[in-house]
Amino acid sequence: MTAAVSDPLDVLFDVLADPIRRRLLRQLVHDGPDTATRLSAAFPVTRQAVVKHLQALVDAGLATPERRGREVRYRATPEPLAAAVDWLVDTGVRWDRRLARLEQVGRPYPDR
Amino acid sequence: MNTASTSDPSSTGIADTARGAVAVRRVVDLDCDAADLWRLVSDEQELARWFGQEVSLDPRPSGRGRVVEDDGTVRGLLVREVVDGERLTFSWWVAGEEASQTEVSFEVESIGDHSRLVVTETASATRPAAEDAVTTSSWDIRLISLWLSVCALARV
Repeated sequence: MTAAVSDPLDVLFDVLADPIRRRLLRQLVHDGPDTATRLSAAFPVTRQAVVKHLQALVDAGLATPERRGREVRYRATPEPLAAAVDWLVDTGVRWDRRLARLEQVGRPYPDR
Repeated sequence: MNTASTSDPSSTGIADTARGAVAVRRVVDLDCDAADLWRLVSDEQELARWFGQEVSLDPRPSGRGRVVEDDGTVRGLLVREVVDGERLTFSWWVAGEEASQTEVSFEVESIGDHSRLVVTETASATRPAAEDAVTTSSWDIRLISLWLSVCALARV
Protein backbone atom coordinates (compact mmCIF):
# COMPACT_ATOMS: atom_id res chain seq x y z
CA MET A 1 0.00 0.00 0.00
CA THR A 2 1.61 3.19 -1.11
CA ALA A 3 -1.06 5.84 -1.31
CA ALA A 4 -3.08 7.46 1.38
CA VAL A 5 -6.70 6.48 1.14
CA SER A 6 -9.53 8.75 2.13
CA ASP A 7 -11.31 7.32 5.13
CA PRO A 8 -14.87 8.32 5.97
CA LEU A 9 -13.58 9.01 9.46
CA ASP A 10 -11.13 11.54 8.02
CA VAL A 11 -14.04 13.50 6.60
CA LEU A 12 -15.91 13.26 9.87
CA PHE A 13 -12.99 14.46 11.97
CA ASP A 14 -12.23 17.29 9.58
CA VAL A 15 -15.79 18.49 9.62
CA LEU A 16 -16.17 18.37 13.39
CA ALA A 17 -12.87 20.11 14.00
CA ASP A 18 -14.77 23.31 13.34
CA PRO A 19 -16.58 24.68 16.44
CA ILE A 20 -19.32 26.33 14.39
CA ARG A 21 -20.16 23.02 12.75
CA ARG A 22 -20.27 21.34 16.14
CA ARG A 23 -22.64 24.04 17.39
CA LEU A 24 -24.78 23.73 14.29
CA LEU A 25 -25.03 19.97 14.76
CA ARG A 26 -25.93 20.36 18.42
CA GLN A 27 -28.59 22.91 17.57
CA LEU A 28 -30.11 20.73 14.86
CA VAL A 29 -30.24 17.80 17.27
CA HIS A 30 -31.63 19.91 20.11
CA ASP A 31 -34.15 22.04 18.23
CA GLY A 32 -34.88 19.85 15.26
CA PRO A 33 -34.71 20.60 11.54
CA ASP A 34 -34.26 24.24 10.58
CA THR A 35 -33.33 26.48 7.67
CA ALA A 36 -29.98 28.15 7.09
CA THR A 37 -31.61 31.55 7.39
CA ARG A 38 -33.02 30.90 10.87
CA LEU A 39 -29.89 29.11 12.01
CA SER A 40 -27.66 31.97 10.91
CA ALA A 41 -29.40 34.33 13.35
CA ALA A 42 -27.71 32.50 16.23
CA PHE A 43 -24.22 32.50 14.74
CA PRO A 44 -21.67 35.28 14.33
CA VAL A 45 -21.22 34.49 10.66
CA THR A 46 -23.13 35.23 7.48
CA ARG A 47 -25.95 33.09 6.18
CA GLN A 48 -23.70 32.17 3.29
CA ALA A 49 -21.11 30.87 5.72
CA VAL A 50 -23.75 28.89 7.60
CA VAL A 51 -24.87 27.29 4.35
CA LYS A 52 -21.28 26.31 3.66
CA HIS A 53 -20.93 24.76 7.11
CA LEU A 54 -24.25 22.94 6.76
CA GLN A 55 -23.13 21.54 3.41
CA ALA A 56 -19.97 20.24 5.10
CA LEU A 57 -22.16 18.47 7.66
CA VAL A 58 -24.25 17.05 4.82
CA ASP A 59 -21.14 15.83 2.99
CA ALA A 60 -19.98 14.06 6.16
CA GLY A 61 -23.36 12.39 6.56
CA LEU A 62 -24.15 14.33 9.72
CA ALA A 63 -27.09 16.29 8.31
CA THR A 64 -29.49 15.98 5.44
CA PRO A 65 -31.38 18.71 3.56
CA GLU A 66 -35.14 18.39 3.27
CA ARG A 67 -37.11 20.61 0.91
CA ARG A 68 -40.46 21.85 2.18
CA GLY A 69 -42.07 24.15 -0.36
CA ARG A 70 -39.61 26.93 -0.95
CA GLU A 71 -37.63 26.16 2.17
CA VAL A 72 -34.70 23.83 2.63
CA ARG A 73 -34.51 22.55 6.17
CA TYR A 74 -31.54 20.68 7.53
CA ARG A 75 -32.04 17.68 9.77
CA ALA A 76 -29.33 16.18 11.97
CA THR A 77 -28.26 12.62 11.19
CA PRO A 78 -25.56 12.07 13.80
CA GLU A 79 -25.25 8.31 13.41
CA PRO A 80 -21.77 8.50 11.78
CA LEU A 81 -20.42 9.82 15.08
CA ALA A 82 -20.92 6.37 16.49
CA ALA A 83 -18.32 5.03 14.06
CA ALA A 84 -15.72 7.46 15.36
CA VAL A 85 -16.45 6.65 18.97
CA ASP A 86 -16.38 2.95 18.12
CA TRP A 87 -12.90 3.41 16.67
CA LEU A 88 -11.65 5.14 19.80
CA VAL A 89 -13.06 2.50 22.10
CA ASP A 90 -12.02 -0.49 20.00
CA THR A 91 -8.51 0.83 19.43
CA GLY A 92 -8.07 1.61 23.10
CA VAL A 93 -9.19 -1.84 24.15
CA ARG A 94 -6.84 -3.50 21.67
CA TRP A 95 -3.86 -1.52 22.96
CA ASP A 96 -4.76 -2.31 26.55
CA ARG A 97 -4.67 -6.01 25.74
CA ARG A 98 -1.41 -5.80 23.83
CA LEU A 99 0.29 -3.75 26.53
CA ALA A 100 -0.93 -6.10 29.24
CA ARG A 101 0.98 -8.84 27.42
CA LEU A 102 3.98 -6.56 27.00
CA GLU A 103 4.02 -6.02 30.75
CA GLN A 104 4.23 -9.79 31.14
CA VAL A 105 7.24 -10.10 28.85
CA GLY A 106 8.91 -6.75 29.47
CA ARG A 107 11.15 -7.87 32.27
CA PRO A 108 14.96 -8.02 32.43
CA TYR A 109 16.29 -10.89 30.41
CA PRO A 110 17.83 -13.55 32.66
CA ASP A 111 20.80 -14.06 30.35
CA ARG A 112 21.83 -10.41 30.34
CA MET B 1 6.47 -10.04 37.49
CA ASN B 2 9.11 -7.37 37.49
CA THR B 3 7.09 -4.85 35.67
CA ALA B 4 5.31 -1.84 36.98
CA SER B 5 2.36 -0.15 35.44
CA THR B 6 2.62 3.53 34.94
CA SER B 7 0.92 6.01 37.19
CA ASP B 8 0.72 8.49 34.35
CA PRO B 9 -2.97 9.29 34.02
CA SER B 10 -2.62 9.51 30.26
CA SER B 11 -2.09 5.79 30.18
CA THR B 12 -5.70 5.18 30.88
CA GLY B 13 -7.15 7.97 28.83
CA ILE B 14 -7.58 8.78 25.24
CA ALA B 15 -5.43 11.61 24.08
CA ASP B 16 -5.56 14.03 21.24
CA THR B 17 -2.88 15.24 18.89
CA ALA B 18 -1.90 18.79 18.14
CA ARG B 19 -2.98 18.24 14.58
CA GLY B 20 -6.60 17.80 15.49
CA ALA B 21 -6.58 14.18 14.49
CA VAL B 22 -8.04 11.60 16.80
CA ALA B 23 -5.62 9.41 18.68
CA VAL B 24 -5.38 6.78 21.34
CA ARG B 25 -2.36 7.05 23.60
CA ARG B 26 -1.01 4.70 26.21
CA VAL B 27 2.02 4.96 28.48
CA VAL B 28 3.57 1.94 30.14
CA ASP B 29 6.58 1.86 32.45
CA LEU B 30 8.57 -1.36 32.52
CA ASP B 31 11.36 -2.68 34.69
CA CYS B 32 13.48 -3.72 31.74
CA ASP B 33 16.03 -1.28 30.39
CA ALA B 34 15.45 0.83 27.29
CA ALA B 35 17.60 -1.39 25.08
CA ASP B 36 15.49 -4.43 25.94
CA LEU B 37 12.30 -2.48 25.45
CA TRP B 38 13.52 -1.29 22.06
CA ARG B 39 14.02 -4.90 21.04
CA LEU B 40 10.53 -5.74 22.25
CA VAL B 41 8.99 -3.13 19.97
CA SER B 42 11.23 -3.42 16.92
CA ASP B 43 12.30 -7.06 16.60
CA GLU B 44 9.70 -9.29 14.97
CA GLN B 45 10.49 -12.25 17.19
CA GLU B 46 10.11 -10.14 20.30
CA LEU B 47 6.98 -8.49 18.92
CA ALA B 48 5.46 -11.93 18.42
CA ARG B 49 5.58 -12.35 22.22
CA TRP B 50 3.03 -9.62 22.79
CA PHE B 51 1.96 -7.70 19.72
CA GLY B 52 0.02 -10.38 17.90
CA GLN B 53 -0.19 -14.07 17.15
CA GLU B 54 2.09 -13.67 14.16
CA VAL B 55 4.34 -10.72 13.42
CA SER B 56 6.69 -10.00 10.58
CA LEU B 57 8.48 -6.68 10.40
CA ASP B 58 11.33 -5.14 8.49
CA PRO B 59 12.16 -2.32 10.91
CA ARG B 60 13.60 0.09 8.37
CA PRO B 61 11.99 3.07 6.67
CA SER B 62 9.70 1.73 3.91
CA GLY B 63 10.05 -1.72 5.45
CA ARG B 64 6.94 -3.83 5.40
CA GLY B 65 5.32 -6.14 7.84
CA ARG B 66 2.26 -8.14 8.72
CA VAL B 67 0.46 -8.73 11.98
CA VAL B 68 -2.13 -11.35 12.79
CA GLU B 69 -4.04 -10.25 15.86
CA ASP B 70 -5.57 -12.50 18.48
CA ASP B 71 -8.99 -12.25 16.92
CA GLY B 72 -7.58 -13.25 13.54
CA THR B 73 -7.53 -9.74 12.12
CA VAL B 74 -4.69 -9.46 9.61
CA ARG B 75 -2.98 -6.11 9.20
CA GLY B 76 -0.48 -4.91 6.66
CA LEU B 77 2.20 -2.58 7.92
CA LEU B 78 4.55 -0.01 6.40
CA VAL B 79 7.40 1.52 8.42
CA ARG B 80 7.48 5.30 8.20
CA GLU B 81 10.31 6.30 10.51
CA VAL B 82 12.93 4.69 12.67
CA VAL B 83 15.12 6.48 15.20
CA ASP B 84 17.20 3.61 16.46
CA GLY B 85 16.55 2.86 20.08
CA GLU B 86 14.02 5.66 20.43
CA ARG B 87 11.13 5.73 18.02
CA LEU B 88 9.43 3.49 15.49
CA THR B 89 6.54 4.82 13.46
CA PHE B 90 4.47 2.80 11.04
CA SER B 91 1.21 2.87 9.18
CA TRP B 92 -1.02 -0.16 9.29
CA TRP B 93 -4.35 -1.21 7.96
CA VAL B 94 -6.70 -4.15 8.06
CA ALA B 95 -5.95 -6.36 5.05
CA GLY B 96 -8.36 -5.55 2.25
CA GLU B 97 -9.56 -2.40 3.99
CA GLU B 98 -6.95 0.18 3.01
CA ALA B 99 -9.24 2.99 4.17
CA SER B 100 -8.70 1.75 7.71
CA GLN B 101 -5.11 3.00 7.67
CA THR B 102 -3.88 4.59 10.86
CA GLU B 103 -0.45 5.53 12.15
CA VAL B 104 1.22 4.01 15.19
CA SER B 105 4.30 5.26 16.99
CA PHE B 106 6.35 3.49 19.65
CA GLU B 107 8.50 5.86 21.65
CA VAL B 108 11.00 4.36 24.05
CA GLU B 109 12.44 6.36 26.91
CA SER B 110 14.95 5.50 29.59
CA ILE B 111 13.67 6.31 33.07
CA GLY B 112 16.54 5.68 35.46
CA ASP B 113 17.00 1.91 35.46
CA HIS B 114 13.54 1.48 34.01
CA SER B 115 12.05 2.25 30.65
CA ARG B 116 8.89 3.78 29.35
CA LEU B 117 6.91 3.03 26.22
CA VAL B 118 4.55 5.61 24.79
CA VAL B 119 2.20 4.19 22.18
CA THR B 120 0.13 6.49 20.03
CA GLU B 121 -2.28 5.37 17.34
CA THR B 122 -3.59 8.20 15.24
CA ALA B 123 -6.46 8.12 12.80
CA SER B 124 -6.39 10.33 9.74
CA ALA B 125 -2.70 11.03 10.28
CA THR B 126 -2.08 11.73 6.65
CA ARG B 127 -4.52 14.54 6.26
CA PRO B 128 -3.52 18.17 6.68
CA ALA B 129 -4.27 19.95 9.90
CA ALA B 130 -7.75 21.27 10.24
CA GLU B 131 -8.19 25.01 10.11
CA ASP B 132 -8.55 25.38 13.83
CA ALA B 133 -6.77 22.24 14.87
CA VAL B 134 -4.56 24.05 17.34
CA THR B 135 -7.64 25.02 19.29
CA THR B 136 -9.03 21.52 19.47
CA SER B 137 -7.29 20.27 22.56
CA SER B 138 -8.73 17.07 23.97
CA TRP B 139 -10.44 16.80 20.63
CA ASP B 140 -11.40 13.18 20.90
CA ILE B 141 -12.79 13.76 24.35
CA ARG B 142 -14.93 16.45 22.77
CA LEU B 143 -16.01 14.00 20.13
CA ILE B 144 -17.14 11.55 22.75
CA SER B 145 -18.82 14.31 24.71
CA LEU B 146 -20.60 15.46 21.60
CA TRP B 147 -21.71 11.94 20.84
CA LEU B 148 -22.98 11.39 24.36
CA SER B 149 -24.84 14.68 24.31
CA VAL B 150 -26.35 13.78 20.98
CA CYS B 151 -27.45 10.43 22.36
CA ALA B 152 -28.93 12.11 25.42
CA LEU B 153 -30.78 14.67 23.37
CA ALA B 154 -32.07 12.00 21.05
CA ARG B 155 -33.75 10.28 23.99
CA VAL B 156 -35.62 13.43 25.02
